[in-house]
Amino acid sequence: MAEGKKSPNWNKDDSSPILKIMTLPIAFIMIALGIMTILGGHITPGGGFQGGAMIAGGIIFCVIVYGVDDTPLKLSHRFISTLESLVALAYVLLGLAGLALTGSFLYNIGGNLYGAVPQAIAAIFSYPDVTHAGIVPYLNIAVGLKVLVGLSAIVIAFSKFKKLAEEE
Amino acid sequence: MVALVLGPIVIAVIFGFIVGTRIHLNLENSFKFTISGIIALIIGAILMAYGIGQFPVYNDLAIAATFLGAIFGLLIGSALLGGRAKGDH
Repeated sequence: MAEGKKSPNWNKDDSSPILKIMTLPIAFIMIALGIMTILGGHITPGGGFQGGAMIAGGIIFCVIVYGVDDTPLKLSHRFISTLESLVALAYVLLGLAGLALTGSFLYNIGGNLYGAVPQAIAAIFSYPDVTHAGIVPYLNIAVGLKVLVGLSAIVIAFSKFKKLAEEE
Repeated sequence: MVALVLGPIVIAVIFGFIVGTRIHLNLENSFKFTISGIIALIIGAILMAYGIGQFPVYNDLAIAATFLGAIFGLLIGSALLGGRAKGDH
């Protein structure tokens, strides 16, 4: 920051105490609402992307208010890369299971609408819900986790770059 | 007749646990999220769940059980594993 330029103290080093006290509980609520949106994605508006973005919103909220080093919601590089890889693999494997069993990629083997797979295999992939939506909720969960770590990683990287630029 | 659907609740707890393992509540920080804050959060979450109602499974309990499951998963995850994982972030 250029010398001689006035800036308010609350914006210089630290956030306001009100923000600091309220942000973490609000982030908890946002994350829980995001999880609820993901798990209701097959019967209500919303789904994997929207819920994942809501969870990432809670994480980004904490990063902005507490700073990238002092945030209580810390996502390590290892956690981000592991989760991103695992959920992408899960999505592809669910698609390949449909391809292997019926010849159609991403066939809903849990729902089994056309009766193309044996009932025993359909029971394994069935979602324990009143709607019996098959693999759709699992795909929503995979997309939600992927969006959550992806959007958070972007903001964490930008915060780190900003910090590096300020230090230079 | 209320039919409690356990599947989404269990998945919400697991999902919340995964995210909760990243929440470091024992940092020497100024956010003052103590046991009284957790109790206030739980009370607020129950009120919110009552306001949300039977969502997203419409013949379930009168409160949003998935939402409450996610809150408890987050709290359990942060209490059991939060702050203990060594990250490079």
